[in-house]
Amino acid sequence: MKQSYDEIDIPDELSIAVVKGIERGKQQQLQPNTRRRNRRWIGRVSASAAALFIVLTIGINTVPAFANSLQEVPGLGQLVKILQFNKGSAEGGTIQDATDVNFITVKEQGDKETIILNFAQNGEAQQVASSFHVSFTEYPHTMTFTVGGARKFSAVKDFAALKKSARIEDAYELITLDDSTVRFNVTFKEAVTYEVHEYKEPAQVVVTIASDPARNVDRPPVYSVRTASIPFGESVGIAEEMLFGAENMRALKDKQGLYFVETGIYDTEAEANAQMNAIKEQLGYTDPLFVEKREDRQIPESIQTPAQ
Amino acid sequence: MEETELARKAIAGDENSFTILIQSKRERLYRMAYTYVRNREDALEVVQETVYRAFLAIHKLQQPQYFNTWLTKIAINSALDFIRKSKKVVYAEPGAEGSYAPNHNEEALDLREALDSLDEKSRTAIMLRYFEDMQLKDIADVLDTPLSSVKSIIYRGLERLKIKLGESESIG
Repeated sequence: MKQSYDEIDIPDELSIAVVKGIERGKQQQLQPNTRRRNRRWIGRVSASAAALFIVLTIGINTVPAFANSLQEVPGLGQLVKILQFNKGSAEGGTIQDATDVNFITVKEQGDKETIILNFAQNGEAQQVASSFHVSFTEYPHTMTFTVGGARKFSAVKDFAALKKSARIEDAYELITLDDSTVRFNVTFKEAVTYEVHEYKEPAQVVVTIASDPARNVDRPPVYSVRTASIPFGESVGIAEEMLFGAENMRALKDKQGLYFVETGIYDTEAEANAQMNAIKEQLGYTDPLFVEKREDRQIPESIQTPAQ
Repeated sequence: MEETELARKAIAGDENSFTILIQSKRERLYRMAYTYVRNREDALEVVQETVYRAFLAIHKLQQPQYFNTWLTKIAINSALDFIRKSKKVVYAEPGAEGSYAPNHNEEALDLREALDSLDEKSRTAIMLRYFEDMQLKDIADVLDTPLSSVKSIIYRGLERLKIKLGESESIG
């Protein structure tokens, strides 16, 4: 009998199950809302991104089966889908409420980089991702992320870590006049290719980006139709509401750290001027709009409203 | 590095030591889990749960030399919780069980059937004593049962197993 016990087949996935257990433990510890039972551990939270990497290293070095399944690692749970992009935007997730987008981690893997979004509800890791929308736009290369049913955005603290990445120029939250939506932009220093995977149990959205040398040539400038620069606050949201209907509208941050709303970018100045007038007429927008010439990969200029 | 030393570091919060230690125990955890749930996927899930619980609770372990006993206890509780939750209680019809692991040899079937006939506590005690070679006093710790009771649980269990195995031999 003892022999048949010892002969129980050990599956290859066993070491992965162990790693997953540890990762789940870490996720749980990372939840900002969990009771702080032990200061010793809380102190380690800040170092956890590094620790995560150590675990991976050990895993690779000690467990051969683990190395093969590396692709599983950023998504700890099961893959729900790989997002299909249409004109640079895609959607995923399931409608939820009272979500906290609680932390974002960024990891460099060779020439790729992954940005991982995590969701929590009542201090516990959420099992299914909240409905989200992600879009990639150019001039400058920007990823805009919108999460619905989110009441809290604890991950704002992680933007500092994101900005340390070699490919990321900036990461910032956008004001949203809807208290159940969280939005943020990530500005890339260069053209990137992207892939977005959604996972469940636990919920994660994993964005993988890599440099795109083919598209990293200097392209001609574009002409942007936009509002004046406004400090972070409601006015940005109001401008967006008023310009609602403009097809390629987005909110951006300028060189000075102020915000503005852009209704579109065009190849020629004449076209931009025509579009600007059309918008003023069609949407009855009375505040001043401007046409800004913008080079490839350039961070938008700060434009002040002229004194009235 | 010695196990107790690793355990000491793990308790102090060293994730590396915890990982090394737990990886060194993984086959043991798997076999124990398998004994309860009887199939690969569920056993893997139980192992994951065990590691998860252990990771979150390791700082509460007071004496590093009891790491093994402590971990065993978590493993068994995880397995039992899993069975309770999934309601995949294996005592169903004896015939239905075959579907769990069709490739099993006769001896393994014997083991399963024999262990199934025991109550939870005897099964755990016998597994720990004879398969995992654990000391009786450690088993007593795991089961939260006095040493004398552990002895009688095992003795009773063995008596029943003898009968069971004897029967199946005479049939087969």
